[in-house]
Amino acid sequence: MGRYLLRRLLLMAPTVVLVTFLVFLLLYLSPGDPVLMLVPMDELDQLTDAEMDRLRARLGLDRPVPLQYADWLLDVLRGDLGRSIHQRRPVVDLLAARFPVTLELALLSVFLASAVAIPIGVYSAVRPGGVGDVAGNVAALAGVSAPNFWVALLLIVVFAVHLRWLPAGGFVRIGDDPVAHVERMILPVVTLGTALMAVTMRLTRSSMLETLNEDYIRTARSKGLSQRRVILAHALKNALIPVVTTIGLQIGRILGGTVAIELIFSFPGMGKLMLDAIFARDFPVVQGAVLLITISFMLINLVVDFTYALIDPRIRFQGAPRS
Amino acid sequence: MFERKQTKLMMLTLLALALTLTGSLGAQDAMTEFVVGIGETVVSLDMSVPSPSLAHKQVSYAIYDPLLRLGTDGSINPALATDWAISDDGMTVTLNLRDDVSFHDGSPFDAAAVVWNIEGGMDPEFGGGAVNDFGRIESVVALGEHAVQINMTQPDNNILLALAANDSRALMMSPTAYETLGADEFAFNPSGTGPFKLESWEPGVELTLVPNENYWGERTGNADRAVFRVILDASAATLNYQSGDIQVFFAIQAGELPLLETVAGTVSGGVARGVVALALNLHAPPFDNIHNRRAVAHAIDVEPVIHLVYGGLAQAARGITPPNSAAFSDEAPPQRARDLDAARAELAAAGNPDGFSFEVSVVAQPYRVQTLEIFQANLAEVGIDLVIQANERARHIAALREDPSIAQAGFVQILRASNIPEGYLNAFAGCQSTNVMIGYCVDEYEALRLDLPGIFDAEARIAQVRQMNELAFRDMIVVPYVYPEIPYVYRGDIIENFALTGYGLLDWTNFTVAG
Repeated sequence: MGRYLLRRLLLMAPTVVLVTFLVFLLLYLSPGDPVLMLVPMDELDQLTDAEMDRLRARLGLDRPVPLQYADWLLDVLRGDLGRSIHQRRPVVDLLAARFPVTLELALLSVFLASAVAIPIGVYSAVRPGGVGDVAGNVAALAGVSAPNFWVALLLIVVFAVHLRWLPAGGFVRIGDDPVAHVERMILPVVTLGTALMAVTMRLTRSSMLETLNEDYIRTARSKGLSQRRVILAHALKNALIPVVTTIGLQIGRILGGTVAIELIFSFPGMGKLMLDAIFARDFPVVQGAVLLITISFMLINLVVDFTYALIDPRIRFQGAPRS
Repeated sequence: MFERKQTKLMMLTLLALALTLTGSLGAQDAMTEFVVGIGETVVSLDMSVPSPSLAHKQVSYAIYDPLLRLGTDGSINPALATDWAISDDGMTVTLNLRDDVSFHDGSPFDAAAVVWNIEGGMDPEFGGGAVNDFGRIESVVALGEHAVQINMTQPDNNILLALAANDSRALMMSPTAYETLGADEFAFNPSGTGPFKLESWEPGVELTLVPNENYWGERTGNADRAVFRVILDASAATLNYQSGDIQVFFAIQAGELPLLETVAGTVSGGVARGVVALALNLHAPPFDNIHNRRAVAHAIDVEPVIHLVYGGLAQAARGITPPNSAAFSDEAPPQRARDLDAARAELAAAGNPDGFSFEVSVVAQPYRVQTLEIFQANLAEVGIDLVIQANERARHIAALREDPSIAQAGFVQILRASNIPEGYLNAFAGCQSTNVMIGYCVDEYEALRLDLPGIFDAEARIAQVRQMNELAFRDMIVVPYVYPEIPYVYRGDIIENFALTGYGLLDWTNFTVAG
């Protein structure tokens, strides 16, 4: 297990280098000069080439691209992600402010989705064609079909405008006011959770249906085990493997940013940070964010892989000694 | 047994959560804060960093004070300077300063601070938007602890307006805080002398101001917090207003206004702000020919733009200088009315009776693109083919910067950046203008422009600006088409004493918020 973990962690390094280098290259190839983005539109005409060169040199953008990348990588190894060109703040600070928000949003919405969707998916699979199954399928179809931004606006209309139970938007850090923090997390979490719920529910149902038709389930039943034990102890464990994989991928996707949700609820997440940085050609911020998202995505996948072994003890990792 | 315990625990957790939420919802009523929705992000509160953003101006005018303040009637009033005098030859300006003011960081406001701020404004690298306004200042010296003298290179009748600007280095920053923190940190921890000071700031999300308990001026409002919430999505902004989460929304999209007006207690209005024009490249075909420029002006129909793009909150332009400028005149020549026959005649006079084709690169924002699409249809009626290049901002700038001569026309919006009567003209015209596309530089106009700063008589000065306006209109250096209004709404049942500054921004010093 330890060797397997070490091998996976070592394999991350070239992936991170490759991804960040490609992003670095793409940013430089895309039209748009970060220096020009620093100057208001109506003052652009007054900006001389000499001033542009001076600004470019100050930002370190006057050197060859490979050299700039190498410098960036060396700085990263020293824990320095550089400074935002646009916001003039350390990139680490910007990421430290945004990433926990997105991470919390991702984990809570996945938790909500799993808590609701897995039991419904199991129930639907156990009683296929029943009222509960049909209702669950309809709800899942609606959840998958409804775009996130629409669900978000609908929830605001109902819970903020009409019922006035929850705020329509804004963000409060948990340390500043825990209650206000919870209030402002509910609608975004439910919005994101709704789409995840639908996917998770459908996947759980189909996976369970398949598992319930396996020979070992029939054997378990013929041994006289209770329906509850057959489903929870035998079928669900196996059925959960594709579900866990999907959940892992969904967390990774949310960490990459949920721009629509962040814009609608005025949330300081990674999505908006990235979007603003891309439009402003704020290279250090884009690079830092890509680095963080890439590493997080790979770590989550690693956790997912280890979860397989917890769910199904028959699964062994390559390189791990057999017990 | 175990399952029952689990169920009980879950129920208790849910109950606790519900009680907490109920308690906190009740607590919200007691707050005397107001929340302003803003549709753009404030990037920096260092006045050395130029910003065209309205939100930036709103916030900076609450944190910082200028030496002089512009009244809603265009008058110049005392602020951090109690009185001032301009020498007979116009070469020196003396200002006496208040002696009871300190910056938010506790350091004193004095002549040394004013010298530091004005000298900073004269520095091309750190002057921000003030560099042009302070362009005729030779030096500034302290006359004791609470008086300064500004020495001019030439007389400048705009100097008082420059000192009363609502952004840039005309707003006094604390030199002590700036030098202690450094520029980058100061930008997020600003220190001025204004009625409010920064409490917290989540860039791109929310910015909270609290009253400056040591404010030198009168403040009758009761708000103990002013929150600026960035809401970029128009629908979300509307819902935030409907839900009562925000009580003021400034610079809303015109299309959202009817819905917002249905909210009980809502008061709506609009602030005239500047001019929107189609800029034409005077130095390259086809617009180096005045007849082609006039043909475009005759062919476009402004009415659909006013109604469809601006929701009725705009008026047809009568020239470059808009109604919020002292130099505006109802008697100014009206915008050339839509007249297709006249447009065709101009095309014939230009030697291209069948029309021509031209391209406009524009930042892909809905209102800009919609406007150009309307013009595209209008111009097609006389054979002019308008090709719209809707680009992301970075692409748009890069394309124009790479080869400005290729730009045949552009979309220009000059919002009120200064109250100098000739300010709008200066944006387009005169040999000093570095506008690569327009660059209008003719002797007749130039003589009037150069003569202008020495005219201190207000009426004579405005008459001269109007004369310059007429020349610019005659030569059709741009096609100004609307004077837009920036719409706003606020909850009149929650906020009393709503007022705007001389610059048409919110003046919330005296906002009274219902408890």
